[in-house]
Amino acid sequence: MQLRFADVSHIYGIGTPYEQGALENVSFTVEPGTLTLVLGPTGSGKSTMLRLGAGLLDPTAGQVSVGDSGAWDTPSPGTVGLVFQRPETQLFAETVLSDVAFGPTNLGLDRDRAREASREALVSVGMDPERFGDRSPFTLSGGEARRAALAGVLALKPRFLLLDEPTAGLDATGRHALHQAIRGVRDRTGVVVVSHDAEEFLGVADQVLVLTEGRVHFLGTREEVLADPLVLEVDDLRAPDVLRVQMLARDRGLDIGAFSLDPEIAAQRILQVGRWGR
Amino acid sequence: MGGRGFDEPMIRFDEVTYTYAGAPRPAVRELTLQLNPGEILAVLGANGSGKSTLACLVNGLLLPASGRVSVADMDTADESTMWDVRSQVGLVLQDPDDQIVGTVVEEDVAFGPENLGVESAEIRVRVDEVLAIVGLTGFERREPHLLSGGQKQRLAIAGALAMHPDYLVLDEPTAMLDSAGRESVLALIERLRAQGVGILFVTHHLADVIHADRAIVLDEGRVAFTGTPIELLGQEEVLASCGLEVPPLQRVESTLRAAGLPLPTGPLAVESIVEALCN
Amino acid sequence: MGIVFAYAITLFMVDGFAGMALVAVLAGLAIRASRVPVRLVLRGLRAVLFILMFTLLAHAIRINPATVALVRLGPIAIDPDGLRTGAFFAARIVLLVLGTSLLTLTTTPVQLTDALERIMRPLARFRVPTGEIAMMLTVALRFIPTTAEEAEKIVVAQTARGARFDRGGPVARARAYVPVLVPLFVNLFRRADELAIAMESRCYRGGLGRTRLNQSVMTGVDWAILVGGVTIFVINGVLL
Repeated sequence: MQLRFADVSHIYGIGTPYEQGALENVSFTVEPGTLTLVLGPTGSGKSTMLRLGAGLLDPTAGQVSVGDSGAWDTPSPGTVGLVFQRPETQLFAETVLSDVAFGPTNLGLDRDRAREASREALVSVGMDPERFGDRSPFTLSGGEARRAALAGVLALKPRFLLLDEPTAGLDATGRHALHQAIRGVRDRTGVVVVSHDAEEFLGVADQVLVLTEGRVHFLGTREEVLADPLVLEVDDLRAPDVLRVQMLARDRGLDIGAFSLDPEIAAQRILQVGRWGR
Repeated sequence: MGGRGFDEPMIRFDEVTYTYAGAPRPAVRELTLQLNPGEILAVLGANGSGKSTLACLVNGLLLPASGRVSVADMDTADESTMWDVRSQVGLVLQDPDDQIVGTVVEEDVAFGPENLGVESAEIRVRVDEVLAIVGLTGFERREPHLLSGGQKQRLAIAGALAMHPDYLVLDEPTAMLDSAGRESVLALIERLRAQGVGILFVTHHLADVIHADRAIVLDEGRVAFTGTPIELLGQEEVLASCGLEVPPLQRVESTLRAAGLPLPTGPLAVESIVEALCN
Repeated sequence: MGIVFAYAITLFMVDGFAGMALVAVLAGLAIRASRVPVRLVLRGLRAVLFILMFTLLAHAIRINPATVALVRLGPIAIDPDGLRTGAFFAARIVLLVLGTSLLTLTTTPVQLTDALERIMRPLARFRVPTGEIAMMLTVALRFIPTTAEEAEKIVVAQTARGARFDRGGPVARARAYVPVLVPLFVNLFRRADELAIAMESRCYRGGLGRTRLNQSVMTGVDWAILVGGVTIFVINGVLL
């Protein structure tokens, strides 16, 4: 099963005087069990891509589909989960459990099955249903609310999960909790993380897609990015600082070899080349 | 910072404690600190460490349960000087949309001076002046919802600056912004430093600390550490226990330093590190 | 703004075509004075075109009337008196829409709330907090686009969780919006709290003693139209 963008273009308001192009000839595939990092500055088409990926929009050209060689289908809430930026602002129900159960209920699950799915989802984001299930969502802290909102989408048991800036505004603890939640679902799900900042997710990405002005600037594996981090630098995007140090050092004649995202390893490689250090 | 006279305006916290109604623990406990004129102080801490409470205590929006907060020797608890305190301390919150009141940019900037009863012609001068400082000249008649996140936050800062405050308190100014927005706000802070405005900014982004003269780390309402940014970045255990992470670049820098590499005093930017490597 | 109020009231007081014609002349003058392209002003009429037609026909068409008809088509006839009445009401609608279109095309929200505050000022004598009311209106206006954006985001987010807003009867549809309205209102209340903090920090202490960046000024043309409007009001009320 794959999530596939096949030569997708999208123009808002096509045919009207308010036409605005958002995506142009974008093609890529997401496999379950992998994490795709989508990078791009504001206005590069990232949010359009997310809406297309979740089936909220139909592309004006090309196809977005979920399935495999046997059967392709348009994405829907049951197959592709979408978590927007700051999703905690969308919590509404009286209890955390019933909020998380909103999705499964909409998909036709009966009350008991929906609650069961919700409990599982809460566990998968590291929130104990006994502790949090009956609380009002409005009493949760920022990080907890974020995870509850994520659970709300995970409860739909989607095969693919699209996350828009999932760690925006979280402090270190909140970020760790979120990374753990993503790790937890990753083996069954194809995860797509959209961000304007490469530093955080590059280390766990299998595939990297860089968008600029609606077009694909780069599509490849993490190894390919590490071999040439310049592919990340388009418009006002910058490669992570750790890589930039190594890139600049190499430009200045230091033969570092393969780049590393780990700060200590990168520093050691630099030291070895310069034969400083003991 | 050179020696300052006793009667120079400054912000002082003396053993300040504050507890929110219904909270099990104080948000801020016996906190003592001082911000000198023209100084930039970074207040760091995880969420829940009390740093936002601190911001609201500075201008008297919250009053301490015990201890004293004073601005230029005016006690924030003193009602007669309340508005003087507020006009000397500009507060900018995290979400710019929560602060923009005007239907167009220039009307919002004018809001503060209008409240102070400043004359129309003088308001005009101030509006043009602060819009230039924050880099929004030309946006006077723009409606706020058409601005980017970084532009909105700079508008909020302009609104505070229009009151000609001695101090600016910024509560997590870059939290809601993308990297372009963050850069524009941090660049603005550097420009304001040159103007002699004292700035207290609250953040959980350790990397922002390089823009400060001094930094303090809060942990559960108490000061866990105080010192210069470079001293702070070397304190990995303290930072970890306070829920803060050393940014990757600073980890590279400290590994290089620990190995004996001669580096200038940091925290350093990418270019400076490589420069030192090649010499 | 006061002019528009008087304008609207006058329109409803007018009895005959003569009075209507006077108002039409005034409207024409105001449009010229505003220098707004006539095309833009007339565009406002497009929205009410249906109502206009309906009004006209509702009055004009009679089934099997006793009186003389202009045109007959089987039992349906066009009655001249009805046509006149219909035309009168339609003309009133046209002038009303033109007037308000002109208002929104020429006035910024700030000027509108300014004018409202000015009009309400006499009420201050009765302890009505006019400055605060004007501020509330300004803030409300400022937040309309922002709130609309938020509402859209929430609708999209809930749709992504399988919510449907197009199913069922009116009650079901209303209930479907609960997951949108609740967070929207919670956010609005939270925002109101934060805004109050921000406003107090910027020394807002009510309407007294506030100066303004842009003072509105009545020009000669404004006065002319005001006087013209009042005159017509009087003529209509007293003479016609």
